[in-house]
Amino acid sequence: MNTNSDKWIGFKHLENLGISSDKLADYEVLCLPENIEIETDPDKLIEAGETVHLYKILRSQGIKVYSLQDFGYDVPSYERRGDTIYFGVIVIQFVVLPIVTAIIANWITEKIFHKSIKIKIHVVKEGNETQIDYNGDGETLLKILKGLKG
Amino acid sequence: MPEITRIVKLYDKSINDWTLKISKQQYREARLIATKKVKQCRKIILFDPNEEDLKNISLLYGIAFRGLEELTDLAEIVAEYEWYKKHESVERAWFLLQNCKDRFESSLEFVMVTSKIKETISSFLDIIEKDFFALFGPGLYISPEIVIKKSVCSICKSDYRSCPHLPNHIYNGKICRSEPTEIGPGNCIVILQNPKDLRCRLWPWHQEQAKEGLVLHDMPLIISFKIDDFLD
Repeated sequence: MNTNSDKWIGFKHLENLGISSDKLADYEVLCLPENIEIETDPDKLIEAGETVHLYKILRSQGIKVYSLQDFGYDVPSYERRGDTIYFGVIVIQFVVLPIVTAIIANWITEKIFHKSIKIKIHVVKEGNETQIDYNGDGETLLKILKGLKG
Repeated sequence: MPEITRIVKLYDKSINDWTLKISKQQYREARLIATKKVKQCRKIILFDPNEEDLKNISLLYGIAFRGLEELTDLAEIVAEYEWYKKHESVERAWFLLQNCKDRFESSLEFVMVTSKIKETISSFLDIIEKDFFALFGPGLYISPEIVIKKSVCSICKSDYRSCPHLPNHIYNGKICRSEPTEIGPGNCIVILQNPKDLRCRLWPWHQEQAKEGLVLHDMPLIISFKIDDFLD
């Protein structure tokens, strides 16, 4: 887990794509391509398989959630065939972390408790950012998310 | 009695009837019961002007009855003497086992039959799965990774991301899911032990040691399966 106040590379890449912080002013969650931190060419960005499902569920709960498609980018989804669940890169404002954690917890408990999960979570709180690059079981991920809520 | 209660009672009675037939190894009769009910569920969902609640419960029963149809086929295969020595029977039984697991996982908790029937179904599938493990080991599985460029919602046929329907929720007797309309190849074809879909299993008779290395033949790379395929 990393915590720092420098601008995260993902935000820099979003700016390069013309998605400035002004355009993201009211976001609570960003569901981003899984390679947003390493890829600057928009044609090479890919979205993890479960990202769109998470995006839809968050939106249905009244959370202000954006993905690159909301800014006119067509990002294809990469379907893997193993039993690992790929959520991609998720940026979460700290104020909605409890709600997002509850949604992910519900999802994991109902559908995929036995499976492993790969997710990058970027929590933004008052200018500071905490990043978790997680690859493991659902139970441990939930413990980490609950720990973040403080 | 409300229509929905009456129909659900009839569904439950049919499951009890199916249980009696299968316990006597009357496969043909058992299959007929399940097939008839699958057709009834399909009609209620697709063609009759019914309430949404009835359509939704009919979807869950329809999935369960499709499971019972395939469970009948599976029971008939494994009742045969030395079924596990016939490649075709092994592949078919494995496929049916996965279908049954998927269908019952989604539907069995919602149907109103006794817990004894549910336990019998689950333990039968567990036994078959253990038999497969004992006979053939955990197995290897093959599947290509794919890129989905565009997809639509199975309910409204509009862009999946922007429509209001939620994944795996039931609307008017139908399940919301993403239906890819434009796909491309991924980076690789994967051979793995823990696949998303267990149906694409690599059996020993699909492998041949050639001069160039291991050659795989006569096996599916990707299988399209839907628990509610009776609505297609």
